[in-house]
Amino acid sequence: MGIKNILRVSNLSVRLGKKIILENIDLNVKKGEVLGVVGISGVGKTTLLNSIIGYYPLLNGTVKYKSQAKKFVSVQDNLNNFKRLFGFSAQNPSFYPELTVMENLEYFASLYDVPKEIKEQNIKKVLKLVQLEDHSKVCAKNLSGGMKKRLDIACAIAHNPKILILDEPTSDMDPVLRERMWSLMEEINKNGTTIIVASHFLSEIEHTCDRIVFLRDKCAEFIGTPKEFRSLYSKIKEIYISTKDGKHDIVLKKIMSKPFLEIKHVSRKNGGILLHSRGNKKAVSDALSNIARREKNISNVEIRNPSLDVLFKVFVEK
Amino acid sequence: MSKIGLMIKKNFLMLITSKWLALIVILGPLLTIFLAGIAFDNLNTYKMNIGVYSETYNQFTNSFILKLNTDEFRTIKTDSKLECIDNVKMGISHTCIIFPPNLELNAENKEILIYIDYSKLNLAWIVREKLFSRIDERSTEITKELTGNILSKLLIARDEISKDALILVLVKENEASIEDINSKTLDLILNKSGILNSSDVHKLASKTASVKVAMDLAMEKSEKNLRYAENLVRDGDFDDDEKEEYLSDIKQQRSFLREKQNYIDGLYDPDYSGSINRTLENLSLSVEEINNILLISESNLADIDGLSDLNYKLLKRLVFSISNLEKELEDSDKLSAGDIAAPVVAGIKPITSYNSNLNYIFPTLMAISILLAAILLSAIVVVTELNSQAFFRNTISPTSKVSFFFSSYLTNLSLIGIHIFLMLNIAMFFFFSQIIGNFFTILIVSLLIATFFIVLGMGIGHLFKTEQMSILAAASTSSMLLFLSNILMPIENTPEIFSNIVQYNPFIISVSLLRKSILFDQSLLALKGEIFVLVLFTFLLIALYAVICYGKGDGLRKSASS
Repeated sequence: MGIKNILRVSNLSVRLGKKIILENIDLNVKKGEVLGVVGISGVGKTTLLNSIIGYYPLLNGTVKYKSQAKKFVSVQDNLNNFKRLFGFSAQNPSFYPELTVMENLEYFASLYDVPKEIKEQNIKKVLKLVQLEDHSKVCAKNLSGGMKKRLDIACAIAHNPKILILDEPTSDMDPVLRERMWSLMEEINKNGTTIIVASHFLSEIEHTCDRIVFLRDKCAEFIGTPKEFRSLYSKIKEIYISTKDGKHDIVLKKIMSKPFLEIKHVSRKNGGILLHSRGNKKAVSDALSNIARREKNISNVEIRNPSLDVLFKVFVEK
Repeated sequence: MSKIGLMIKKNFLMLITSKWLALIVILGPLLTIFLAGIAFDNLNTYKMNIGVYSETYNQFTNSFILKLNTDEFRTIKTDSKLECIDNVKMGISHTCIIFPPNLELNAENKEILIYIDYSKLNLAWIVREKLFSRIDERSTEITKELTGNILSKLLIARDEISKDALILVLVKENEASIEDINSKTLDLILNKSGILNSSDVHKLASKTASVKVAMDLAMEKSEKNLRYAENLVRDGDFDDDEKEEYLSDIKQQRSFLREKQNYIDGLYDPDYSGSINRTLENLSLSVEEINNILLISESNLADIDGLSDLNYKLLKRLVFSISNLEKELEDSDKLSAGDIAAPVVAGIKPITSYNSNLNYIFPTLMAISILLAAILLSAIVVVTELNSQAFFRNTISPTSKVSFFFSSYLTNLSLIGIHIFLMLNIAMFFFFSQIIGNFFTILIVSLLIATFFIVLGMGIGHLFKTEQMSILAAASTSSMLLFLSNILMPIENTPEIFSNIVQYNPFIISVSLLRKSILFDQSLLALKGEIFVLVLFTFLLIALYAVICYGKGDGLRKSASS
């Protein structure tokens, strides 16, 4: 591969209060990659990110980062040095609403002891990157939701970190803003910053992330590329059927009467029904063609590859 | 109504879930009342230190000092008036009493000066009243003693006079007795003046005539004897010389005899008559009578002598008694009615020359202002920071917590510094010289006080989650500090053990530091003791603050969970 690891998470277990949130997580983060952390709500995505940055005490295991001496050292033992390496954007924006965009950036950059000249250059660059150049003198509380998120990311990268950690960066955004945000992440990544991002939006993660980590039952159940994930669940097919009169009961009964189709999930979508099948692709195709021929009420039948979201749902429910 | 009921229920549930708030709301007043109950559940004033000084102590001065040494007061003798006053300024004693040298009842200067520190607000008046009452008490005692003394002297005089009157009666009686005895003796003598009369003399003459006959016969016989003796000599066998000598002797005897005969003849006058024996008898009787009279007179004279002696003694006693009385009354002569009515005069002098109430209350006002501003402001600043969106980003930065602590501290200090500066400037409008004279010390002391309360407020801010709770806790803490100080009630009213603890109340130390620097121009060096305690408390608070911070694990979980 040629890409070297920048972070090593070994056998990580975290307990908050009396509850164990994460157990025996092993994970390597490669330099310059975008790593997606995926899982249902409450599975421990934020806990994992906070544990990586040394925010929570570890019950077990280690988190090591590659130091300037090219050696892996413990984050917990060298927290202050590690803090200079990463930037973090939490779910809720973390800056001073009473200060202007520029004041916030200057303040947070100064917390990292960045020399004045470099700091100024960084801020300029960051402002351009997050497209807030024209709003540098605007009070942060007066920014729009998307701008606030961008400012938060700007604050996280104002000291030019090597690793940017983003926790649900697009959670409250509309699709347009989400797209912009992912574009921003790609831009930041292009500059050589390693990104670890936790998100619910699998389809977006699929496009941006080099690798994904699926968390389930306190563990990292899958670590790999989206392609690897998809191939792992490639047997699943998405079937969409619509009828002329909008009544699907007879059609559904006929489909369900064929066990070889291995229908796992049925839902209504866009006036039709959506089914997930684990059956043989040819067998499914033949069976559906037969049904369509006999049932004149059927107006449309489609067999397609499911999105990552669908696969995620299947993955979660398996 | 049910909607409002549900709303109230919701509010209560929200409050109950906040344990700290419940603790403050319920335990705060309980603790305050409990501590206040322990402290002030009495009517006493406990062990106030009274500095005393006199150039010369005497019994009279010591009696006052002894009177002051009670449960309420503890006297401390000082070596000079200045030391006595300085002790009040330094808080070693609560007040200073200067006794005039050689304090006596009839001394020219008998004014006891009480130096009161009016900056100690209500305590000053209590001390004043208590001391006045003590001095009045002693004064009344002295008045009573003096009046009692005079009354006892009067009683003694009365007794002496009544005794003297008795003596005089006795003397008078003696005099009468003497007079009586005298007259009796005189009468006795006068009555017995006729004991020897002429008949008696005649009788004595006849008696003597018979004596003469007898004498004549004796003479005749003696003549015969002489003649016989002459014959014997003439006829005797004697030599001539001897005869001559004997005859001469006989002649001489004869001549003597004749001489005596003549004398007796001369004595016996024929005019004499009566019986000499009777006369002699009468004479004897008279002599006996006279002897009796003399005996009686002797006894009378002895009586008179005794009475005179008694009278002399009585009179001597009288003189002694009168001179004693005179001596006793001589002491009283020196006292005037004023001395008795008011044996001493107590005067009140303020410890400083300032004569405005604002001067006295200004240090306390300033301390209260710094306390409230510093605690509330710093608690709010910290809790606002902890709850701010940016707190998370601050904590994940490599900037140390110490830097954040100092930034918060310096922010608060600069704000309180402005507050102090404004207060001092306004104060200078009223008493310029007082402030400007010791401006540097006042400023340093104020900033030290502010530092302590800022750190305390920051600790409170760090301890509580919400702004409301922090404000409530800061207000409760401030109330507690104010309550257990001299502001509402003098701590001298609390039991000694309690006041010994409470005197370390940082607010009390703050007031004391400001009082001393503003009112008494004390230097930093002179205040080093209290400054040390305050600085020590500040460091202890910082240590506690650090423990709270690290104990809470950065406060990161709170931020992350939000």
